[in-house]
Amino acid sequence: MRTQNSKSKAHGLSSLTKVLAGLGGVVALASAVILIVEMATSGAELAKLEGEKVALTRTNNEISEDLVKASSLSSIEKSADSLGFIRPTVTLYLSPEGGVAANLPK
Amino acid sequence: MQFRLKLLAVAFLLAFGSLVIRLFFWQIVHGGKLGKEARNQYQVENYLSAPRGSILASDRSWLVGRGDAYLVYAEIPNIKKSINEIADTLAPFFVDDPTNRAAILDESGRLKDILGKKGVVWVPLKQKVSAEVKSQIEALKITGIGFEHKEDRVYPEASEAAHLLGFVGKNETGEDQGYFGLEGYYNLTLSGKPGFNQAEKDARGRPILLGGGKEISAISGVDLLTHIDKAIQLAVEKNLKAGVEKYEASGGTAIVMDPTNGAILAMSSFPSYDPSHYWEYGDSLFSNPAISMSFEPGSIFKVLVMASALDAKVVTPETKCDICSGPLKVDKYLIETWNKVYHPDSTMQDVIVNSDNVGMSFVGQKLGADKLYDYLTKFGLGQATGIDLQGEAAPQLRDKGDWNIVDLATASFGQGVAVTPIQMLRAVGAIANGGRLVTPQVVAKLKAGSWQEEIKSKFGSKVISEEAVKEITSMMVEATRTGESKWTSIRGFKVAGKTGTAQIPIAGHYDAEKTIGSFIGFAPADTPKFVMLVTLREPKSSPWASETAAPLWYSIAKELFPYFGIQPES
Repeated sequence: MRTQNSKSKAHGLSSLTKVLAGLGGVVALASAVILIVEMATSGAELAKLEGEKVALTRTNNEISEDLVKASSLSSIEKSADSLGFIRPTVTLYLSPEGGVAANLPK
Repeated sequence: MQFRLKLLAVAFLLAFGSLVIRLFFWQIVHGGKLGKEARNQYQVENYLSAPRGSILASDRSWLVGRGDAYLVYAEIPNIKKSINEIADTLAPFFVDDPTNRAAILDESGRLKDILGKKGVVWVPLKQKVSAEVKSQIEALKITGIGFEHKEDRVYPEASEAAHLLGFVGKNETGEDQGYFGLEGYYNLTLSGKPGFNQAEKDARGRPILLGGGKEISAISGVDLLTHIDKAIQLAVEKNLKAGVEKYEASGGTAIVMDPTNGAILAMSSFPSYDPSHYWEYGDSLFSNPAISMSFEPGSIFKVLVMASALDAKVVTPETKCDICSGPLKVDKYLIETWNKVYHPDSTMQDVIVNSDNVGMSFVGQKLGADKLYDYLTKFGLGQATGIDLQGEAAPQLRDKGDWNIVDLATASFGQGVAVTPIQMLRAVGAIANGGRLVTPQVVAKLKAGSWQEEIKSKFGSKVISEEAVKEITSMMVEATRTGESKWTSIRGFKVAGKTGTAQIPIAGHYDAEKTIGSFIGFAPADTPKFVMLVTLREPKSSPWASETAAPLWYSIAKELFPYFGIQPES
């Protein structure tokens, strides 16, 4: 009697294991499918991001190039000339002894 | 029934067999070839170019920056319009001046020749086209015309400092390579390290993440932070250009250096070239005369000989020349003064002030050939200065022991010896630096992102004593105040300088008319902020340096004095 009970318990466990294994397999398969689908769409996302990166890099390069050109001292000098600025031709050197302004007692 | 089953089995067996054979054919026999073709379809390999480093001035503004350029190419099988129509449409975009009809016609002809070649599938039409021109061509929507991105160099100051910077061209494998100047010397540092990218992509070009891939990132080139001061560089360029034109010289060179650490603050030579269009100029313009031109220095050399004699104590400033009353006969040659005027019993100071060749022969005789050779070697002559620019020449001195009395006499006043402008500047820079030699240096720091490394100044040995420095400096100050160039000196400023007019040796004799005029000097004389050399080749307005190179030196110095905060003595 005891042996029969043990056999039926063992049979019950074996079925449960099979069901669990089956479920595990299904879950694993489903996960794999989802992962593949997800990765496939991520590829498109990645391609989009790569495209954006290239475009941003180009824009950055263009702005950097504009900055390099704008920093030209020769161009600034020409602009200054056209705006009416003139180069100082006479340099006045001040002697430290004689001030140009002073606080006089009232 | 049994027969039909057997027949079916045989049919299946045959079908299986043929399938196996077919598979063997595709998988084994043609497997390699087909695998390669498949990989070509889904595997993408990209070469990741390393951005070239920039070259920066001392204020961190750009001397050379990075920019974008495009290669315009044609895919012949995809072209829909006629070759003539495409050539005529594109030609105006590829010439410098779109209003120049002759240039457009030439360019159109060139394009027709390229596009009309038989058996060609892909042809490059134009290198280094700007983003703006690319957009304009793209707007025309010409089928079969494409663009490939390339890195370009941007020169914000156009052709300024071209010799100093050098240019970037192509090497024999078609890769970018720096030539001459900083681009050549620091080519490896500026170049960086290219990377590589391998990935699998689907038919739409989207990456297959499961396919794996590998990437080795490109490492950007290192930026060079130079000692070049843009304000000084532009002042030197502007004045030198004006000077070359004014004195009708065939060329000119000017170098400004901080004598205390060898920092090159400005360096310019004319005629020059545009590094962004270097291919339009002759090769002869590429080498930098400031470091490669070998010339007989003439009278500016006298300060080195006199400094050596003072240091060796074979003369003092008060020593009187007892052979200065007339021309000096040395072997079969007669040594005369430049103006045939003689000054009996001249002191050594008078010898420098009057730029007296006979007096310098006297100094040479007192010093002796071996000692003179030793001093000149200590001043760095006969060897490269070690400046960090590509293309430096190092004219040799005559071997020690090979100097005869004529060699000694002529070398004493700067004839029969060859130097480069940078060698001369370094040698006189040693006088300005208290007698200590320093290596001229253009780059101050190497910089990449947050990393930077300072390039320390390289000091050489002490060439002459402090006492000799004071004595020769005093003589040079007096030379600027009362010598031939006194008319052009700026009153009140203590400048130590010397003019030099050298004849040009041609086929064993000196040209009767052509000269090289030079002026070398430092200021303020007691605590020098800069040492500057100006040379003018073959000036036609006057053969004398006191009327050409000296006023040019002072016109540059006039701008440098307020910039350095140098005040007059009174």
